[in-house]
Amino acid sequence: MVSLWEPAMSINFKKGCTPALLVGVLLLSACARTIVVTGDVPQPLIEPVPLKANLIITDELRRYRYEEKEKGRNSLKSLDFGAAQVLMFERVFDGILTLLPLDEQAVTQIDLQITPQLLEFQYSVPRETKLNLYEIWLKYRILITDPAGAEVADWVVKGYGKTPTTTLSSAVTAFNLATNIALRDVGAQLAIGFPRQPAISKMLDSSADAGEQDKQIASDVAVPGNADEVEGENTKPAIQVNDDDEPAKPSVEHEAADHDTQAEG
Amino acid sequence: MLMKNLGLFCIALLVSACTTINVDHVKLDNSLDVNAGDAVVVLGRHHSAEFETEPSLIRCIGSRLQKGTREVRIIPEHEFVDMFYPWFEARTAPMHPKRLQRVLDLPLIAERIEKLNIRFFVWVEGSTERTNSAGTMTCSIGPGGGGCFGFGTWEDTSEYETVIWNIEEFKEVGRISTDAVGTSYMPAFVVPIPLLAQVEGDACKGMGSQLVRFFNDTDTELKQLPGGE
Repeated sequence: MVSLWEPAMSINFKKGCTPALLVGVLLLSACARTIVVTGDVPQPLIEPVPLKANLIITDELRRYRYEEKEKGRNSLKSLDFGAAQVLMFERVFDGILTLLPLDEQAVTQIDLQITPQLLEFQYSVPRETKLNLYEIWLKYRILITDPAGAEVADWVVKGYGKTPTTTLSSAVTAFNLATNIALRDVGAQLAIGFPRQPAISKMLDSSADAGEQDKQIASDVAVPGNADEVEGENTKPAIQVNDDDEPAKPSVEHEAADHDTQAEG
Repeated sequence: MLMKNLGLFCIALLVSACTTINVDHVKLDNSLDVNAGDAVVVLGRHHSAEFETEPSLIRCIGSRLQKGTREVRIIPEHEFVDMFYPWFEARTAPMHPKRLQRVLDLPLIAERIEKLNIRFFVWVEGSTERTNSAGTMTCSIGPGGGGCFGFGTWEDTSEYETVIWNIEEFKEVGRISTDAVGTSYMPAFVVPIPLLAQVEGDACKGMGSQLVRFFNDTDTELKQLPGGE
């Protein structure tokens, strides 16, 4: 019979034990669960579309901080990624189209107003899943309106990030990295999928053939579609849509892809 | 006593447990031309929901390849994916050479690939997992000191598949399969003495050596660029 080996540390504080040591250990463990995500999503390497827009970042998004309230989930106390997500949206949309500053004059010049909203945040740690991974799921709604406020597109984008645990890295590092990967995932889908949104595509069709190649490539990549196409929660990466002339990929990938939102042409 | 234990601990750090490694190498193109100054990108596959190819392994392979092949330049993974964001993220990275060709048809990407003189993509997929463990250990601390007692052992298994793409012809030119198994031990008598099997590190050595051989193969003539760099 094989028993699982888990180094059990039984700390016996006997007579004369320094209380400061105990306090120090408790403080260290508490600090380890409050995490501020520092991210830096690169500028996307894509041909910008010939549209001008305002990016509306709400205070709620800018100051977002996940607070863990569930008893028993003590791996994370709070995760502050408001600044990281705002940076991602600003950088990605700045690469997709021309962003104009938010002022009254700009309203007359813009084609679109883009308002991102965080709908859901979830995480899991190795102790919960028995996988050697920290995982983060993000779900955003990207509301795109015309300058008058009429809806152009209502787009839900899901991001997934995971990072393996390693001997010397802390939970702080792992959460930080997984959140950044999830934000990059959202940014990648926005950058590739934006010209494919039916309403945006229609707007672009009236322009010259700008972004024609980007759209063709984007059509081959799994990206989320509209809000009403969303199927389930806890979506793992959609992975790839296979080439017709290539063999099928392992079932895990298909399974994951089946659960994710697939864009329609 | 303490010095003796400390000495044992230091010796244990220098001594590592054994790893059994099996590396299979298939070369699919014997007329491969590697030119001095060609760049190679070593990338991990991150699309699977079940495992994550370790970034440390990718760095290790890149480093071994860089040391072993002086004529080939290695572009680090994080640098490459940042430069080509969003085309090589977990969700968007091409799974087949033909899809890569479609991505590289985009003028902005083609221009950057050409500027960096990238010729080969090395994709690494797999992970190192703990497959077995046994034993118990208890550590105690008190005013007079502390210590651990017990014995632990665990087995790690690595399975990696490395695929090499030549992006001049957009086809797979080589494949390396690596399996490694290693058992680590940790007896503890006051001080834990780790006898660790470096399974991931050994898998890296195996794959790295094969990749070096692949790019330095005697069948493959290393050609000098006209400029004679």
